[in-house]
Amino acid sequence: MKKIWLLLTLVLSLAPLPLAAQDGFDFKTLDKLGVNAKNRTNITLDSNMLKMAAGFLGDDKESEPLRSLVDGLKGIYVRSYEFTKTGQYNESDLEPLRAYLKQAQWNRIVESKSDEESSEVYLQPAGANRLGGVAIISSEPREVTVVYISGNLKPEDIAKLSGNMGIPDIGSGRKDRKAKAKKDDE
Amino acid sequence: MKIHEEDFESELRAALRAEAPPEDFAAKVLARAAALSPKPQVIAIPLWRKPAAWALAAGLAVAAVIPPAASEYQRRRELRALEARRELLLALSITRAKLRQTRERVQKNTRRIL
Repeated sequence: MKKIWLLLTLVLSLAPLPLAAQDGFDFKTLDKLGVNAKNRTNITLDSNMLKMAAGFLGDDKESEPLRSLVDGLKGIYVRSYEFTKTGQYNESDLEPLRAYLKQAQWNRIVESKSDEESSEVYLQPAGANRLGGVAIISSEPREVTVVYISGNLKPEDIAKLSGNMGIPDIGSGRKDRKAKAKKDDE
Repeated sequence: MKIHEEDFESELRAALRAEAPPEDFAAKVLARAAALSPKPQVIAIPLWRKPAAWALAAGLAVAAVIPPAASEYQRRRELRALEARRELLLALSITRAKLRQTRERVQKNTRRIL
C-alpha cells in the first residue's frame, strides 16, 4: 500500500513537467547552432528577471516608454552567434523554432530571403489590437540571430522597438566587426 | 506538720508562679530555631549548562549574523538586477538592429523587384 502511495505521489509530482515544457519554446534546442561560434550572445530573461531589470531603468521621463514596454513582457530570449567562416552553422538547426512558430498561433508577417541572407518576423496575435509576442530569425553567412519576446504588446510597441527609446545602439559595432571580417577574407 | 505543709505549698506556689520571659526571649528562640533547621543546599550550575545562557548566546549570534547576511543578500540582488538591466538593454538593442536590418532587406528586395 505504501508503495502505491509513493508511486502515485511521484507520478503526480512529475505530471506538471511536460505541461511546463510545452509552455513556450525550449531554447536549449538552439544550443547546437552556436557550437562553432566565435562570439555568442545568450540572453534569457524571464518575467522575474524583467521585473528586477525594470526596477533599475530609472524613474525619469525618458525611460518611461521603455518601462511601459517592459512592464507587459513575460520573457525575452536572444541567441546571437557570430562565426569566423561561412558554413559554420547548420540552417536546419533553426527548424525546431520554425516548426514551433508554425504550430503555435504565430503569423509570419515578413520573410525576406536573398542568396546569402534571410530575415523572418513572426507576430502572435492576442485579441483585439494586442500581440502576445514577436519573434525574429535573422541569418547571414557568418551570423545567426534569434529574438523571441513574449508578453502583452501593442502593435506600436514593435515600432517603438525599432526606434531608440534610450536603448544603446550596438548595430554600429557589429557592422564594424563584419566589415573587418570581410576585409580579412579579401 | 502543718507548718511543713505550708512551706511546701508556698515553695510550690513560688515555683509555679507565672514569670514574664526576658525581653530577648523570642529573638533567642528564633535564632536557635534558625540555627537548628537544615540550610537549603545551593547547587552551583555552570553558566554553559543554563538554557537561558544558551538562548542569550544564540540570540546574540543571530543578531550578529542577520544584518550582514541581509546586507549581502541585498547587494547580490542589486547586482543581479543590474546584470538583468544590462541584458535587457542588449536584448532590446539586438531586437532593434534586427528589425531595422529586416526593413532594409525588404526595401532592398522590393527595389530589386521593381
